[in-house]
Amino acid sequence: MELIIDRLSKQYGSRIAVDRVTLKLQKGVYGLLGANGAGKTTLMRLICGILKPTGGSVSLDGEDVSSEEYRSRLGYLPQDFGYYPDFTGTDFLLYMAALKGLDRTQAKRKAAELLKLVALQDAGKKKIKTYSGGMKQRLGIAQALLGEPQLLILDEPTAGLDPKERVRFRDLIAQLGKDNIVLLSTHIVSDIEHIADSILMMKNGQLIFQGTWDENSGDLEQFYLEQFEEGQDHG
Amino acid sequence: MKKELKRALYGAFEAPESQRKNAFLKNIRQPGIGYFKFVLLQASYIRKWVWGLSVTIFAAALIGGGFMERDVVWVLSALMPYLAAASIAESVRSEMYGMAELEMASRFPLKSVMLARMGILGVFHLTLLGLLVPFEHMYGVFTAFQTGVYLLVPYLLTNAGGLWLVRKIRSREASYVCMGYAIIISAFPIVSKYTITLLYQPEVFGWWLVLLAILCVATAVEYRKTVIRAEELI
Amino acid sequence: MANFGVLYGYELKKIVRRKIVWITAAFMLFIVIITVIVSRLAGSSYVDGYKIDTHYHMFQVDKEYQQRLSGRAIDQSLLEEMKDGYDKIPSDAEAYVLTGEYQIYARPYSEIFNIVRNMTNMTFNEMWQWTADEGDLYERRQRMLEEAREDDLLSQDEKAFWQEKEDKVEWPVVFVYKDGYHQLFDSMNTIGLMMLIVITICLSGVFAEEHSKRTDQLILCSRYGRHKAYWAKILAGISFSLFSSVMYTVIAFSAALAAYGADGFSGAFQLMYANYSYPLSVGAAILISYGMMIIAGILTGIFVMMLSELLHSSIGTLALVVGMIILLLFFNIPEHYRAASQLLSYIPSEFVAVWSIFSLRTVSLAGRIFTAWQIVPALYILAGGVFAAVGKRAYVRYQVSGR
Repeated sequence: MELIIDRLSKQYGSRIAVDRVTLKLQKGVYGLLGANGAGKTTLMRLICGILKPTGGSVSLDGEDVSSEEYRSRLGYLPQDFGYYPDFTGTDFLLYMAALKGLDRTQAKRKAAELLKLVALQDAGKKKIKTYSGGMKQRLGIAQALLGEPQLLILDEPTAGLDPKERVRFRDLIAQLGKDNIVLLSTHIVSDIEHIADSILMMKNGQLIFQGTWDENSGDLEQFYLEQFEEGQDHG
Repeated sequence: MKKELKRALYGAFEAPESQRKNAFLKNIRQPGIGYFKFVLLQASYIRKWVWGLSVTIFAAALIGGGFMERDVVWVLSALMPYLAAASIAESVRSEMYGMAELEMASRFPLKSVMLARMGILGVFHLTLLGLLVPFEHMYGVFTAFQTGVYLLVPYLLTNAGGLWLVRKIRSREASYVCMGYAIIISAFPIVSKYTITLLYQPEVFGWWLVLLAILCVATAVEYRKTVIRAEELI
Repeated sequence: MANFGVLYGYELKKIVRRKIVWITAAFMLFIVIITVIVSRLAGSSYVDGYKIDTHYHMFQVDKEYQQRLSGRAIDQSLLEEMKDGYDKIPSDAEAYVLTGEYQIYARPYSEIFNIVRNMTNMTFNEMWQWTADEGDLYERRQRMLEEAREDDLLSQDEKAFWQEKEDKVEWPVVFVYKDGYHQLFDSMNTIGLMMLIVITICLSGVFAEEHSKRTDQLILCSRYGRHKAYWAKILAGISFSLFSSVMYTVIAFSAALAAYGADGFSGAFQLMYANYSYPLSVGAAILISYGMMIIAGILTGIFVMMLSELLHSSIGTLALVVGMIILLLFFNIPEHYRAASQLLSYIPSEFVAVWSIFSLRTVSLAGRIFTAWQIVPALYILAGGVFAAVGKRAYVRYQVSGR
């Protein structure tokens, strides 16, 4: 299984948000780091097909990003996603399951399973408007996992989670990364340190570092700050 | 001469470094603004389109009265709900855009902001209405008092209902719902003018007065509840 | 397919769960009852500031008189009876309805009097001087029809078409009591316009809210998010418009028939709308009218949903469509610009009116002539398809950015 990102670019007028990014991702967990405004969210949206690139292409095992087959293998958790306040947690998952092509029986089973996985089984019948921020985030994670996605794109997935929930989430991602491609972006360096097999760093729309990181490589946070020391963009 | 001396002194000597500047400044009481000035300041934060809409309706009524003559009361009745909706939109702007928490914690809290804005717009709209009524009475078939009642009822109906809706919905969708509600109230006089002439007959006017009284109370209650809710972040 | 059903169900749920839908439903119920019943039966009638009677009592009296005459042909004998009654009214009476002579002799035939006036376009004074003559009545009618066809700038083919239809209408026409249907006929414009406004209010957020709530990201990146989800939304909106329109129609019919009675279904439509030559019954005409109202509601729903996606704003959509509806109420294209004024009359907010549905102006297609109520449904299906396609294009191409 391989996700090929070939000279992917996105330009808004004179501003280049993503600048000729080229990547080949296989199974594993990839941590995406970068300052605010570096282009991480734009890159993720391009990979999810909800933003059209100005140049380049994205394909998963030969399937182009614009195809239904590509989207059927995708799970996405946006940074700041919305929901329907009057839907219950279960309603929301069943609705997303229908969008992802799961049949009704499978959808019900999967929804119950995922609610348990993210510790929302007791809140499934309550309306989302009654959920706390952390509960909404966990619901978002649950919907991203519907349909057994082989490509998981997670934008700031641990925002709003308490430390215990973060640890559970890390374990879950590590497990998923064994058989799938997981790309997650975060500002919390410790999340990436613990679970990412590879690190990707973005600056001003460009990929400035790609490589593995382990304990012997030193302090990741220090390395990260060093990369962004020169001419840091304060946008 | 004095000026030249001063200039020369500045040039000749270097002023010493200021010491304990921060501590000194902290001791000086900063002048604040009074409540009246705060209210006036809030007037400047009311969005321009709200003033624009109010003035446009007023101008349309004055000019249009000459053309529409007998129809002017119905057309104005149809426009009143938009004035009310604009007023509500201003009152609940803070909550809609997530500023409520910040404003509640400030010296002049959200409650004061709301009261100020509602008060300013309320007085402004009632003044406009007061100016309009004698003109429209000139053109229309009703007495000045009747005209006033026929205009106030849709205004207050939109106010009371709109505030209730906005309190129940409490999200950005609230403005859309409020607008929808205003449109319904507004469309009714236009669409029904020919088929429901009964509503504007003399013998039914007593019911209008009853409705007006109920709406005055309802509007006051809704304003009070809205302001009370602004005291605490729920 | 099952997925589509689930998506459709959830889209319908999203529409129906909003508070504004229930508020507008309650309001429409109020409007229908007021328009169909209260406006006619409540209050009193005044002449020169003098109260003559309550509307309800007047209705009861007139209903009884009409039911006595129901089933009689408007022929020489009935015309003479009517004229005899009206001839007894003193000619110098200022307000003739206040005279005892009118109440006793003429009033039982007042509906016949009105029908004759409508059929011939005679003024009040002309009616007063007219001698009851069945042959003259139908000759005057023929002249009135020809004038109406001239005024509407009809072509020769169209005139021939209407004459052919007129020849199929049974004369002398049989009088029937038909107040229930007449009230439905008169109420249609008010109910129709309010219904279009209500549909606009309820559906203007269907697509816009996905952008304002930021759920568009999740939907657009999912497998069926670009195609099935879109059509599920459109179908949900259409279902909502259809259900609402049918429901208000049923309520209006129930209210009218309960208050005024169901008599007169098979009566000639010409009793209500004299210058229309098509051989329709009262019942058929009413069903056609409200059927047109229902499809106007559906087309409006599709249009509103399209705008909702194009503008990404519920308030913007609401303001634009309601603004258009209200503006068109006051805006008119002069009749002598035939094509333009005819096209304008086919816009839903203009079409929910009996004078548009039963307009004499027709459309010729492939050698055949179609009346407004025959051609407009086809036009609406075409327009609906175009709107849905335009909306789909915008939906599929939407770029999630700027957040």
